[in-house]
Amino acid sequence: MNKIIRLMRNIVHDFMLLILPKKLLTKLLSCEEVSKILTMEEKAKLRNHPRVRFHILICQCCTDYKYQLEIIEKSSQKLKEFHLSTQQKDLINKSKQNLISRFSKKN
Amino acid sequence: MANKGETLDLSSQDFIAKLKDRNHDAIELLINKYHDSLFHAALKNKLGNDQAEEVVQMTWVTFFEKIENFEARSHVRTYLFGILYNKIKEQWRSNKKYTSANDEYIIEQQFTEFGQYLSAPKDPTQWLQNKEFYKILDEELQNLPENQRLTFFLKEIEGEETQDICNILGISNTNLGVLLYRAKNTLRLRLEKRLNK
Repeated sequence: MNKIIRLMRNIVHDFMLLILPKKLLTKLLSCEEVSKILTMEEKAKLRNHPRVRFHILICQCCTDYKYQLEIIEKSSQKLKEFHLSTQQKDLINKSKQNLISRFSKKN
Repeated sequence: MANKGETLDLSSQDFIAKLKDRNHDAIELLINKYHDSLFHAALKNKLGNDQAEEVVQMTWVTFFEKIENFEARSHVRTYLFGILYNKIKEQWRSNKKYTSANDEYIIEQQFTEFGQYLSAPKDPTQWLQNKEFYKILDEELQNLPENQRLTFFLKEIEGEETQDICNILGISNTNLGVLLYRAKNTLRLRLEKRLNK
């Protein structure tokens, strides 16, 4: 099913590039513009704009690009979890005690 | 200090006042809460164990030197990590360790003059099916040029707000957008190369 959707999207996209006049094509967003909108933080508010959504609907390249970004962004959050080795824990535990003693006055 | 079961706001005026007063319990709480994360962040930015520990110590020294001027406009965590990342950059300079941005040219040349992809992005479905995906993602993140890695780390991993990242790194909103664009495109191109068969 996924392959059929991909094929249909490619056909519609190529068909539109062939038949639409250049003046109208310039009103549609390019893949480069869409890639910047999807990626650059300052353009975040445009991500759900109808022109962007329409472009992604008919463009398999941008659909795959958007999916790649989603995987990278969501997967990166898992990298926040960390496990320190015993050696690392020993190193920082000593350091923490020294820092606490150094910067605090005793109650 | 807060009783058990109460959530303590580490950016509350009360807590900051205790830190300024060098209250032992407040300092112990703060250091225990953030020291490991600071150490981990330093390791993730290509410092060894000893250098990471040294940088984190210098971060705390600077934090307590400047605590009198801290007005809690941002969360104390953001303030701490801001100091940390500046210390990391100083350490990179002294290590004379810079990653060359070999992929900058490739990123700029992704598109034709009409804004269409020269080489279409590949279907990433198989990325997550690879058992080593997270390991590969972590490796490629480590290989990013320094400023791209820092920006990506702060935005996508630490989840910091845009304005806080701009303040930490001393860059504009526009620069931040460009760095994020380059970081994400470098990552996706490298992941495609390693994961798409």
